[in-house]
Amino acid sequence: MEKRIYLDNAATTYVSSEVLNEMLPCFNTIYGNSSSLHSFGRDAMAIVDRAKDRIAKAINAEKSNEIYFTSGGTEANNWAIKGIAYANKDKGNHIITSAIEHDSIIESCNALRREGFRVTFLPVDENGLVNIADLMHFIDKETILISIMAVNNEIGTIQNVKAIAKTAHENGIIFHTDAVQGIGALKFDVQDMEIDLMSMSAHKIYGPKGIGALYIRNGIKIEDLIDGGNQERGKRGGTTNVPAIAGFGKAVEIANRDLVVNQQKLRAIRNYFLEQVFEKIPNVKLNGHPLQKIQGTVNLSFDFIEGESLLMLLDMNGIAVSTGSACTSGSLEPSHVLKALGLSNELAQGSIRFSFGKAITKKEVDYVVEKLVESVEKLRNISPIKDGKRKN
Amino acid sequence: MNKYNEKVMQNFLNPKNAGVLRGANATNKINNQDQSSMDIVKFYLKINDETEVIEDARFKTCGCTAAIAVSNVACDLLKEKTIEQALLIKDYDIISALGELPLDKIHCAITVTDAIKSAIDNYYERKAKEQKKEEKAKIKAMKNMFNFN
Repeated sequence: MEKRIYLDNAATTYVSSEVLNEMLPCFNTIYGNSSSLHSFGRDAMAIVDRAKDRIAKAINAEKSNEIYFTSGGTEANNWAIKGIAYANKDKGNHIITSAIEHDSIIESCNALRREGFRVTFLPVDENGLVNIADLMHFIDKETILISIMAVNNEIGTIQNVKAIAKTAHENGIIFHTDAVQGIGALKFDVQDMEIDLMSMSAHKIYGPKGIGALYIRNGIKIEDLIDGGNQERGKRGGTTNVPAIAGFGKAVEIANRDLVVNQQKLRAIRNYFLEQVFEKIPNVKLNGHPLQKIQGTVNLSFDFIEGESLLMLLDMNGIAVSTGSACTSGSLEPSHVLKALGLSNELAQGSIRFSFGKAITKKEVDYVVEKLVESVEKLRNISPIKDGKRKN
Repeated sequence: MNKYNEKVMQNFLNPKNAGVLRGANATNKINNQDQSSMDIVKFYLKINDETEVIEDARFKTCGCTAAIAVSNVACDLLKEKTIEQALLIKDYDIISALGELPLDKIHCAITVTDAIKSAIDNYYERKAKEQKKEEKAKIKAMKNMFNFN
């Protein structure tokens, strides 16, 4: 395989050299345990503190002690949902979230449901937006938490986070947002946006895997996550992962620094890509909001074919994409996100997510379009439902 | 490594049996309404009316890598078989022709064997219709002959 093009940056990214350079000394030079009192420990602590400061500054948290490191976005989401539910169950047992959340939110909610909590999964419109009127309709006296993702991982739609947060607070409800896909693509200001808790992850923004954080506004009551030492203010025990945290802090800082220029570049790439695709391939549908979305993620449905076989053909040409379709165990399970948008099963099955990274070039996009045209044509030629029999 | 073996990938990348078969006298109707399974497989069989031997077989499939590979290899298995033999082809015969399939893709082979059965059903239905037509034509001819009205 000569050429390899990575268009799965919403799954994970490489670690940028700036970030890697920040991390390397933490493996063998500044290797102390940040909880130790001696100079080795203090040196490590200084690194952790600096990372916290960087992240707090990037999201405009009032204090840097509101940043709690976790093993990633999934852990942060689990903690936010379950930790808030358990700590506030004397006030009520109802949680509101959306139908297009990440699995770590949906499954955390399902776990709570089995314990007797009530969960409302808000529907979304065909663009993937939560309707505030729907949200208001489902709020009741028992509602203790509203959790709505900032940016959807499959379609890139941006929610009206501030309006949802305001609605929550007008009703005295805690608001959490999963911002894993949003960091680096959007400017977050947790104070202005009235966010109480926010999940973040490093490996989507050219940082290392295995590290994330939960922003918890001071004064919010939340259950401790891991019993142990007094790391993370006693809420999450376990020796601090100093190298990953150093990288995470740097990655967030860079993401914020380069946010505008990266988004401008990605917008140009995305528009060019879509122009080419729509010109050269008939019967393609763009999923998600046409405008209110991050620039890097493009989700397309190709009529008459199935996503996995298209993914395999592109993979044979060195192009890495992802599909929401999962044709497994005989049952039809299109992605819950695309289904929530109201896509027919056929269209949902033929969907592919292209997520561009900041290093993408126009030449690479040209190659991708060329191979995409070939592959779609090949699969449509052997599909029995080609001839205008689109069912919707 | 790829989740599919080399034989599956070969059948997927170069499905030589893909396409419409001219002169086919047995095809299964695809059912878009049935959304319990994603794979949509259509077979085109050319069956010799005298000997009931499948002389040629082709397919069109909308489905995953495994579904396309399974359809292609099934056509190879069908060729030169009598209808009776074709009906005895089981999902595991198709799978073993490919070496192996990932566990979560076994259902593709079942979809394909079902499609083969309904293609053969279609052949008999068509034959029955033709016979009826012939009989009707004969009666009509006789009526004309005796000038009944």
